[in-house]
Amino acid sequence: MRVLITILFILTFGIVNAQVEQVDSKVRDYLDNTYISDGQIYRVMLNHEEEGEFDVTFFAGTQYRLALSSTLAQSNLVYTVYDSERNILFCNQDFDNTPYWDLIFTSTINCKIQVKIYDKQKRSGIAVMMIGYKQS
Amino acid sequence: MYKTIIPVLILIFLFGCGQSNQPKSQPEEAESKIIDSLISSRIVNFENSLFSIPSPHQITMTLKQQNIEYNPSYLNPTSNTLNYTNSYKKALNMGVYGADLGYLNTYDKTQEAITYFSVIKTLSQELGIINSLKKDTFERIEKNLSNQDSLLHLLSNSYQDIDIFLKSNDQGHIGALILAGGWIESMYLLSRFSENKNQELISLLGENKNPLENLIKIISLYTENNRIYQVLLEKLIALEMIYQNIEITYTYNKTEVNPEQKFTKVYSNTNITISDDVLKELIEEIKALRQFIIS
Repeated sequence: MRVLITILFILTFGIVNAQVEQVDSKVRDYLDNTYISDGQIYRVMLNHEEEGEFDVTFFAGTQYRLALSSTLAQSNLVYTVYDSERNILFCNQDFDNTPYWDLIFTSTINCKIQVKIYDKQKRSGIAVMMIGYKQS
Repeated sequence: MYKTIIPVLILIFLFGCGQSNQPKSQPEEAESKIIDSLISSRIVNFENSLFSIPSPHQITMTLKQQNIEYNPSYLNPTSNTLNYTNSYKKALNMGVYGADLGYLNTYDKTQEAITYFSVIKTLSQELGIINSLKKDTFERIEKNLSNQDSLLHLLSNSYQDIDIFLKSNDQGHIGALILAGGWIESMYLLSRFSENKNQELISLLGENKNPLENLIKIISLYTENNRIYQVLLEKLIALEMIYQNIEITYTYNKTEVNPEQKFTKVYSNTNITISDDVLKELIEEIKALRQFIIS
């Protein structure tokens, strides 16, 4: 029985791992070759309607691309960019849950990117975010 | 043997493809537990918050934009690598040399970049993270040392691969030091060039208050029972105390959205005021912090 559980664990671990790597690769593709990645991959595990937050400083004179996806369908992933006063600067729900969006900043701003997963079956998912930049 | 494996594979298939409306079955619960264990080892997660540290290249890019003259004396000499005998120093200085390589690349210094690149390669071998990179990565980087854009993409993708590797192998603490080293070195370069009273650079120095706070949150995840992280954290907090004296005001302005081209232009404004005394203090503290890392 112990052998069975161990094999089951290893194989399932492999499947989930492969699934996350697929999402990483998809998100990397959204940055395409015109944006340089900041070198980090941000992953957060979220339950249904649970929020994940990313603290980001966007610098003046730079054009950024936010790219996000999850282990669930793209339609389940909602991300919103807030400034430090909680004003909404962008929400992908207003644009068919787009997986990527560009932001151009005329001044340096501290932001929070809030990510939520909505799933009818209330499943958990892993949200992956990458940030690319180029001079604007 | 097959009697064991075949039912296991059937089980895996059943819940590996589970997208149905059925109530949560036992395998799904098992999957959920496995995801949790996978996640706990894979992400830097602090109550579902993650913290971004800007790429050092973003700072060196500004130096070039401001027509700041190239000055190699500010870089960490490659001969210093002999001093880095433990994994903490190696990781911190891998970040430092990464930032220096970004600086050299920005100023098209190919020959010097080759030397710095080989040091990074050696450190990544010694840290055991070289296998996280694709087999041809170093070959491709070597071939593109004179091609600024290609090199930047290759380097940033390599750092992403290293980031994933370290988090997947429960070595997020090493990744945190590489990040810290890169940020501190870029701040050191910025502070040295700010001595000439270039207002753009001084503002950029002040604008790094939030990334510093993020870095403090990341490093604080690893301080338990580890002296080097504790000392580093103390030094970062001391720097943050000086940052408290910088005046930062923010004004929200309406954004402009272009749905066709999928972009939003943000016109909100942050204003930074740093007195000469605070600037001097900031420069000295960054210098001391950097010296602690490279010595």
